[in-house]
Amino acid sequence: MKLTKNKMRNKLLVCILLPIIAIFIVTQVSIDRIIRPYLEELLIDRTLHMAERRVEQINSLESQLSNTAQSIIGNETMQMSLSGSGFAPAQIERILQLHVFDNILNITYVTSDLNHIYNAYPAYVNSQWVLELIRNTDLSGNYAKPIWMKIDQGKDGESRFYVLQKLRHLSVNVRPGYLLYQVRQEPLERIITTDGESERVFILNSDGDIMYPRGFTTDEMSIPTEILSHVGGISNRIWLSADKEYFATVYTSFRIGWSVVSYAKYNDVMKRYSDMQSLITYTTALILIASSALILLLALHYTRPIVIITRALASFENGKFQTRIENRLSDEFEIISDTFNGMADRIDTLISDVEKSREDLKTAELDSLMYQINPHFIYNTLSNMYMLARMSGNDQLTLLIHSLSSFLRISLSKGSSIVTVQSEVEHVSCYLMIQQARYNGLFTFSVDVNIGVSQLTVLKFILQPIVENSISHGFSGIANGGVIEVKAYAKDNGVCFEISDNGIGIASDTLNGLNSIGHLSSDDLRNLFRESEGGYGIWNVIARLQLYYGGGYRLTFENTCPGTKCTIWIKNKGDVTIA
Amino acid sequence: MKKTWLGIISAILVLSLVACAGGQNSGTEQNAGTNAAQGSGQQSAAPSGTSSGVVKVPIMMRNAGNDSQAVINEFMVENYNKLYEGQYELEVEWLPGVAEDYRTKLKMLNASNDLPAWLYDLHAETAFAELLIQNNRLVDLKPHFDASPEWQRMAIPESVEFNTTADGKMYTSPAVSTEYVGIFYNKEHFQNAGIASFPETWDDFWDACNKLKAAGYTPLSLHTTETGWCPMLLGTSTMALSDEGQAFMNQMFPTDFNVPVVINMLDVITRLFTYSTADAVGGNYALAANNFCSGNTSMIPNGPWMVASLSDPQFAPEGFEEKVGYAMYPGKTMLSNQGKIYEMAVSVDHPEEVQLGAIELVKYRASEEFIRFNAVHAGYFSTVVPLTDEDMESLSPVMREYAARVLEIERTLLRYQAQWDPLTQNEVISTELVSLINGTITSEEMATKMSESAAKFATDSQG
Repeated sequence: MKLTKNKMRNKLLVCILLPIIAIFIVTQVSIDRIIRPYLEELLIDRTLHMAERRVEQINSLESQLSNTAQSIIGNETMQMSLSGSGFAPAQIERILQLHVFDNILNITYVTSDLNHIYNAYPAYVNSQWVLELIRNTDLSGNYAKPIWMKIDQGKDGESRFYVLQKLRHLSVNVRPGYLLYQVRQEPLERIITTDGESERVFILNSDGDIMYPRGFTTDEMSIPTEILSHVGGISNRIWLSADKEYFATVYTSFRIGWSVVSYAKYNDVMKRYSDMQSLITYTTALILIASSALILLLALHYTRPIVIITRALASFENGKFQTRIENRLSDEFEIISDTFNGMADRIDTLISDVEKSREDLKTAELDSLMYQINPHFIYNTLSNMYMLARMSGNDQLTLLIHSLSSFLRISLSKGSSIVTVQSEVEHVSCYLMIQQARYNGLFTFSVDVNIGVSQLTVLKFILQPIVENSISHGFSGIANGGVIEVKAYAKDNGVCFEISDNGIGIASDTLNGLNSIGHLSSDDLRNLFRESEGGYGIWNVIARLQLYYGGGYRLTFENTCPGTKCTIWIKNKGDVTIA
Repeated sequence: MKKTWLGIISAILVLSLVACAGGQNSGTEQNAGTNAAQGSGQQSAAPSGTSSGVVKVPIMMRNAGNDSQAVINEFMVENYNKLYEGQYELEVEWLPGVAEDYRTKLKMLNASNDLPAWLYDLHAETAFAELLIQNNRLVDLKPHFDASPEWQRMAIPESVEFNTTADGKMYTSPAVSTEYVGIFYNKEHFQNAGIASFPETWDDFWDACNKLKAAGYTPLSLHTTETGWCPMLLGTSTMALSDEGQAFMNQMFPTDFNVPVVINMLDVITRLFTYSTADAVGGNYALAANNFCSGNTSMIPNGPWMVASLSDPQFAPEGFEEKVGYAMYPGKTMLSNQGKIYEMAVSVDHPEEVQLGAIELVKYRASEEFIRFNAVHAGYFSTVVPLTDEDMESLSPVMREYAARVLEIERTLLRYQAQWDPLTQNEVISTELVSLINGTITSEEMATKMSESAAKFATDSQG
């Protein structure tokens, strides 16, 4: 028994856990080799898209102002104001008011000589401040390009956004006027608003000054100089730093000259990926642990009965035939344990029978040896008596002594338990003759042996107990007229003995009992005849037949009314051929 | 057995680690495209995550109006984009209007510092071109011209001189071909009116007008808006007959219109309208052209660029082109600037790489391929790229007639559009021509108004 519970369990664990571990590893590798680069690509695309969208928002804002400017410039009154052709101030204010909408809070128009200021909403504008702004702004070399400015105003330093632009005459090269737009902050706020907590967005002018959001200095932005150096450049750029520390984009609105800089730590941006990877890792690990535990439980469940059965078999193998599987096992193991226990029971019984047979055999052999001592003396004595009786002319005594002598001779048979049919019949004949002498006139007998079976060998002393039973029981109620017939003939590759009497027969229940004893075990037989009166001789015959022939014999009793007939069929063992 | 299993597991783990290590990407920095195309309201066309490398060149062109512009411009865009595929790409804002709409839009864009990268047809308003030059709104093409022998070979020498500033800069491109402006006429009408051939003198011209009128035709398609282009062409052609007239038209931005040749020109124009349709006064060019193409009138003064529309079902009935002939103005005169015009330019409102793309477009327009196409379809002829027999075969009958007339020219005259100031053209002629024709003002008064506006322009220009 080399198989142990640990080996089985280990094999189960390996066979099931190995694929799970392989799946786990493949999953991790797939995530890292395929999903991660793909995700990275998606993030870059998304970052690019967001950067483009932001700069488009700036361009859109600029476009709105550009359209507004074109509309104002194209207005005939405004053109006339430039060429000095005469115009109505109220008309100009009305024109400006018409153009204040959406992201424009106010529009101011200053004539080329800086002498006249017109506002869409005058209450919100300090004329002096406007003039100073125009004077202090470097507009040299600027034809009509809008200058976007952040100006900190108010007590709390609130930033306001203005766009200053020269108002040009369409056809004539006259001195330009000035348009000043105040722009809402909301569009800029929308631009820097991110949908993730990890990304920071700043709007910088071409000099690198932060336009929005306010309250930051360049140093506080904590953005690498390498990135900031591209602010205001023509090319839009996106970075994924070599050490994967950060994602960054610089997108510049060429028309305004402002750049939208976005910056995000790589790990923060990839947090969703990391979370996903962790989730997969933990889930797979959990599956792995749960699977292991389940496999262990299953292994225990299935290996424990195997171990119990194995141990029982090993114990049985070592000669402990009383070993039984006492534990209650489940599933198919219950069948195995029941089968084992049944098999052990049967083997135990067989072994007990064998041992008992051995004991009986020993006793018989001892008895035989003992009998072999005295019978020789008796036999010699009987021979002397036979000679004396013959010399005295007492024929009946001579015959009696001769019968007794033959009976004893055959009984001894030199210690052999096997005799020929001829000897067995002769033996029973001698017995009957002795009993005839004993019960004078009680019965007569006849013996008929078929010559073909006379030399077949059979177990000795099988007929004598039967005829003894006929005399002692069958003829118990009569004083004379009894008849006993003994026949021996061939049948079914064996020899068949028929012992018939015309006695009182056998009670039906006893008859049934006798006919069924062939199926009983040795102990049951013993018990049966121990309890019955005078049946020991028949038990002895049946027990010996069963012991010697096993299934190779049949013994039946039947009432013949009157009398009883006992039929014994014994299979030829093959030592002598039936003639 | 246990060792075997452990070995397999270890091998898988090691392989996985190797695989994981191999999956690490190196950092990247990439150019996500340029924002060069953001000018002219164009959105950045750089695709996400890639650098296309193609520079978008924003331009604005016309593809409408009954002239050859649509054919020429579409040919140009298609062939330029094919030639510079992967390097430059024209992003065209097609303008569904006439030439004046284009000019007006251009002025608007200039005033808002938002010019297209490439400008053309600048000859139509010389003052605007000069305004652009004076305000440094254009790129100096001289280095590129000097570096291109092919461009130099194609350019008309007079035009090179005209387009080169005193300090040696070249803000506008020299012309590589020139067109001659005469008059289209309905041969069927002329025949029905008993006119054998197009009149070669003014007397014969008026006679022909009378005959046409007598035959039940309206002789002339004219209009007063858009600087009175058609009547002004025919009217100013009278100045070609005299030295005074030629001298006057050679002036750039004349300030004194009170001269006999101009008074005479205005008288002629007044008379011309007596032979025109009722809707000519206050009408525009499109209306006048439509009257001619519909057979309502017998003549329309215009350049060869109109030939394409004569066979265009959108503008003329089928077979109309066969009825049309092309003639010189009386006195065997045709109007032509002979290259002394501002043609194309590149604006400074875009990044340098876009400017370079626009310069390549200027150079493409000076290529033999384009010159030949422009000659066949719009009548712009080059002495360097003469028409081959095959080209001549491909000319339409009217264009062939135009080509024949060009060979017969005895007098040419510079066009008023390229010589006169914009205030006079746009604010006087366009508005006061109606008064002149209606008799509200005289030719002398009209000339005075023109002089006043010219003087104002001169004053304004000095700042």
